[in-house]
Amino acid sequence: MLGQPGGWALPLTEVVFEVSDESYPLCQFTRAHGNVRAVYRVTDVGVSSGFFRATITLLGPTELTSHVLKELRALKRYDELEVLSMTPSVLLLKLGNRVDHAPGIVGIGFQPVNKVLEIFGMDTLIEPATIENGTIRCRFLVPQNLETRRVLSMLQALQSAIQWTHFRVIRVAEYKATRYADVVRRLLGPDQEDLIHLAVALGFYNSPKACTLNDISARVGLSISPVHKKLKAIEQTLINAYVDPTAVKAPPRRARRPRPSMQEGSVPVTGGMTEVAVHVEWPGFLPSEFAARNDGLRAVYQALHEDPRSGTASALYVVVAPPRQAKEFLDLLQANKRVQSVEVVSKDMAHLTVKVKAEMPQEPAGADDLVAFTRLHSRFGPEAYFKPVLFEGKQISLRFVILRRVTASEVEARLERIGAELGWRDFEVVSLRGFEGDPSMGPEVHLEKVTPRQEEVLRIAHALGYYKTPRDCTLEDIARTLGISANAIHKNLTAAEEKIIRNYLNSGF
Amino acid sequence: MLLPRPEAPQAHSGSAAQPAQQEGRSAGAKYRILLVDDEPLVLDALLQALGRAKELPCELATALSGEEALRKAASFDPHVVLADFRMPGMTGIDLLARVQTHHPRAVRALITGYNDLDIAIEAMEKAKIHYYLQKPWNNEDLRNTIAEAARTSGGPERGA
Repeated sequence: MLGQPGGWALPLTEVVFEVSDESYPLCQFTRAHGNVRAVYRVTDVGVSSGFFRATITLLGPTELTSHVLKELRALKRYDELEVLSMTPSVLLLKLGNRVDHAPGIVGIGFQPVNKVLEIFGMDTLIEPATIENGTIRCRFLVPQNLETRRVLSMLQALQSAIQWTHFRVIRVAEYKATRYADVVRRLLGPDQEDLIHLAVALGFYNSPKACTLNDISARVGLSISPVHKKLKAIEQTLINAYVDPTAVKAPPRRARRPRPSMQEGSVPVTGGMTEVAVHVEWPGFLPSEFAARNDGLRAVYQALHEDPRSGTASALYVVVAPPRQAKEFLDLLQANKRVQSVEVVSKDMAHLTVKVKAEMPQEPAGADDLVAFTRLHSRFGPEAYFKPVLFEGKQISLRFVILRRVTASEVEARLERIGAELGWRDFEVVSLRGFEGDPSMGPEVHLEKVTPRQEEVLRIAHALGYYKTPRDCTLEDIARTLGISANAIHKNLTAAEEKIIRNYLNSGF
Repeated sequence: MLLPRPEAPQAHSGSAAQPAQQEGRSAGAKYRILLVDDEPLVLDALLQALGRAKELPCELATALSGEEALRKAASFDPHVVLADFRMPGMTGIDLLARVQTHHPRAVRALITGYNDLDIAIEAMEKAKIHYYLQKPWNNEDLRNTIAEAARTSGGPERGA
């Protein structure tokens, strides 16, 4: 189930723009070869290292990407340029320049990024840029709530400093946490998930049904009656969660085995990237303990910078809580002995936003390491891009994009290692989806919309206890309440149930 | 656990727990992976890393030079050849170029400790390599890359 409607605004301003510059080899190349795409990612802005570093992931056949490599070499503009790895469809390059050398570089390389940092501030988070069909799409997050007019004048300054051609602003918006870090809420137990996947795969939820209960029973080796009961229970859980998301209880954890949606071959081969959602169990981890103690309080963690030279890392915490609880959270941060600074960025009656800078501990980090998740970037490597971490009660949800296709077992192996380094106890990969497109956005989830009429009938049915066990009402009772036929009620409810079940599965399970 | 030193070309089962040594294709439906490096210690490390690839049923063979690798490949018919770049005599690129000619279905991977762009470009052009890895390697990445390479090679039951 996707996150709660509404979303929480973080004090971040999201800026997205497109630029096309013919003098830049990657623009020329991706325009000439539609099947080559690139992702440019800044890995070090050089504040402490004195070196500006980035990776370029070229997605396309080797015979084409090797040409790009030669062209970049021919430019002779990079102090560092090396191939980190190569597979038949992905070439990962690392490039770097001394900061004092950077201003001489043109294109989407160092100079534009330097200018972004100069104009928008050194705290600006530069997101991966995609280069496709000759157009570079850039996105960055400014850790301030900026007025659109001010952002536009800053972008004008940027444009005149860089002199890109075909510069186009796509979006200037306040950052909504739920838009980028939808909470994947697992509603079903492992056996229920297996059963509902089977039922959907066999077409039990098609209109008209493509299989019978008998077909499902034969596949699972049970008689019809228990299968029917189990499916009803699943439908009830999903409907109840849809109507009243706050009443959802966490189901039992799945043993470490792939979910049906994550088994080998389930990630579409056409998708060059993979989006992963993970639930982490970290007993004692201060922010999640605090969230759990405070009755479902929610918090968002946005990683900022890791500075290995000074041994510190920073992060932005947004706590969705009334002032008293927010103050307790602030006290908790300030009492932490590793914390070097806590800056209140903004607060109102429902939110508190703080920027925390803390010393990084020796590994394993331990539950009092408040900036642990900032180190996920460096631990996972340049091919992974992490989205904000969400704390909901004791549950910690991570989402990240890997710039290639991966299997569930590969992700699990990496997370095992990272978990051992950082100190969390356990984790569960809850979703793995292949996709194409903008890695900073992730795959689009195509949800089927429940129509207003279906919604109305569903909510009335829910209120009358149709989704209780045993049912408190019949279709006829609902029909009488709404003044329409029982047949029409049945049709509306069936259609709504099918959409809700499919949406649940399509959102990653 | 240290596996036997590969002074002579040998085939090793891909199970780290019980590294039963098997020659040629006796292991049946397993991917055949030929590892080539002039440093026995590096070969040991590669064997150890790949021997733990639980998800990859494989038979591992080793060679200490390009010439030896070509002789071995004639009978071993590898699905994947992983070669070091710098070796006395034949370089890894030369070896993989010849593998391309004589065993075109074998997936070719180069591993090198020299972060030299020219090496990567030459390997792509001359040997049409499929995979490029850096030393020092991360065992997990190595296993994943070789597993992916093996899977793209046509399946373990592929005939000669």
